[in-house]
Amino acid sequence: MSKITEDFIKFGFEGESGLTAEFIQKYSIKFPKNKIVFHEGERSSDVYYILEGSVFVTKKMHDTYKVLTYLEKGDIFGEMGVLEETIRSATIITREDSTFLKFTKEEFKEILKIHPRWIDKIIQDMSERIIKMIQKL
Amino acid sequence: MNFQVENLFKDGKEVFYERGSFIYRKGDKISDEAIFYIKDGLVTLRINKKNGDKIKVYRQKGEIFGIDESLILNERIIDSIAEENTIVYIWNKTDFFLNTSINWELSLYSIKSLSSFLRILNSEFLDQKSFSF
Repeated sequence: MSKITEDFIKFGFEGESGLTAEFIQKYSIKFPKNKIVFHEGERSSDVYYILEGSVFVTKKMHDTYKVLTYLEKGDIFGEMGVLEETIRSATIITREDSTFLKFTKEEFKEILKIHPRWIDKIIQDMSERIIKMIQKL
Repeated sequence: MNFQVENLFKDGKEVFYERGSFIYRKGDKISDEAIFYIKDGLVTLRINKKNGDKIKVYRQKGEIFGIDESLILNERIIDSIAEENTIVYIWNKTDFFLNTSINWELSLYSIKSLSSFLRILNSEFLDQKSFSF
């Protein structure tokens, strides 16, 4: 079994506590505050896990980006477009200096299949986002 | 429609709703029979905004609804109405969430359903805060 496969299995089962320095080095990406991670309408190819920092989920309206919600350490973004195989539904902007784990669609699906906690987490997170938005309307 | 997912839901209770009838209303307690799969027909999920406006989200044959509220809340916060004569399979939420943990097709189907709802809400919901670049 390759080191990376072992690392995916550890991350799948243990989450962040299972991450090795090599894994973080290979998959992490840093963004400064107020930088766009991806744009609404782009082809969806990667999924991001927030290791440090936070991001705004926004929609572009004319020349401004309206904030829909924000996501923090431990949250996942980019999964909607990747799993649905559609374009990005929102523009993601860093709220502060942030570090993400960035996975390809294939890598992300492998992680989801390794342990049900990831499916449960995504369904739980999406449900919470929906309920919060409805309650604010 | 996903036949594998429909086959799973066939274990649930089959219920017919006449056109115009409520499947559930805002404020209804969420029982264990909380997840719906549309075998046939069309369902409107109606969100009543604080300003009196209503947002309608349509769910058609082969789609699931009811996941989000049943996972997070004890009572419904939206109305669900049969837009046409509709047949649904109703699934026990405990069984449903046990199955999402072990069935990849059902998991993906559920995530896609939630995701499509989020996309609709995203377009409706805009906070005051904004950025300019």
